[in-house]
Amino acid sequence: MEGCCGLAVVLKERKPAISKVEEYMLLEEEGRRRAADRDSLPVGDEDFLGRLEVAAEEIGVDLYQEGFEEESKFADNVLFLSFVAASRARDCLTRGLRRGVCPVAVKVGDKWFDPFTLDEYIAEVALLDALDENSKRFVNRRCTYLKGEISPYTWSAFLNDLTSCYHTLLDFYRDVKVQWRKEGKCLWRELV
Amino acid sequence: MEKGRKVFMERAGVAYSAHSALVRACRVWDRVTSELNRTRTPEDRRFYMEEDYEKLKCKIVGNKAEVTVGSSPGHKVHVTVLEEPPFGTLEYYDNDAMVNEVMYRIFTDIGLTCTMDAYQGVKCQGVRDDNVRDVFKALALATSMDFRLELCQGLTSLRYGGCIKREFDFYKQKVAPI
Repeated sequence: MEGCCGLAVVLKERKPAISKVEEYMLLEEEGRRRAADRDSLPVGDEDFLGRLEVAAEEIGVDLYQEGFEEESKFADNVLFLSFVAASRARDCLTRGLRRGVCPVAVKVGDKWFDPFTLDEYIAEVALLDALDENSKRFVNRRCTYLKGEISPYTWSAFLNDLTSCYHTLLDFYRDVKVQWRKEGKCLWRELV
Repeated sequence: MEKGRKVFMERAGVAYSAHSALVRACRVWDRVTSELNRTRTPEDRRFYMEEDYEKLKCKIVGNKAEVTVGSSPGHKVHVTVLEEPPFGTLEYYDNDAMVNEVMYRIFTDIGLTCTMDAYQGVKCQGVRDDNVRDVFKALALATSMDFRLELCQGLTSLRYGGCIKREFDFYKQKVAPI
């Protein structure tokens, strides 16, 4: 009897295998969840960014190999931004600042500053700008929503923007996986 | 479909199903380049340089194709198929005057109306369903042609005109009938 129920528990707990794309989508969901949870400390955000970095790298390599060199650069931008932002996540956490409070950029007059370093150059913002530029070329609109719109620009807002840009990338990647055919040196799209 | 997404797809080259004649022509080009890659030049060298062959790629979006024909940045061709006058276009980008001369001769031989800038490339009009296959076969010859012409001039008694003719004759005798 014990064997029977134990097995049942094991079977119930066994998660179905998920595809890579589904795995990437789960990461997007996690990003949105973390961004929305503004009252919590950014516990685990650094780890999340690490996983986002890996996902963006995999997507970028795959896109490049599929023949989408230009689009793979968008993935590279997400990768690099995730890498750079990890230290900010660590900073917020060690200072004990919640996501909705920890500032990434603050506007003084018409200029933006890094509130920690008082530097006008804010790596996260500069990289988001690059993502927006790329996004405009592809989607005809930026992929961020809050950057430059609210001050202070918090860690929570930043996570929201980063996840939003990742969504844009993922949207394209899913399309490539479903719609494109490759044969020898030829690559073409077929409506399905 | 959301407008932004549609534009994204168009910009990224995924808005339309590929033109079937272009896909067929691309398959022919794929096969011809594979065969030529196993071929030797009269000087007993590889027909294609390895780094050029590795870069070959053809991406088709709707009635447009972008063909990467070599490893140099920008060594590409844009082909558009149109069934109605003025018909489709071909833009071959190359800065090698001799190669442009050969490609100009081949494209006009196919029946396209072309202009040539010796150091920028060849532009043509007249690509249709029924000749796009020949156009793609011709593109197979563009790869590593500068290298073959150099060999021809260095290792044979042929000179400028003779080497150009040799490439053109090779196209007529070996590639066009495929």
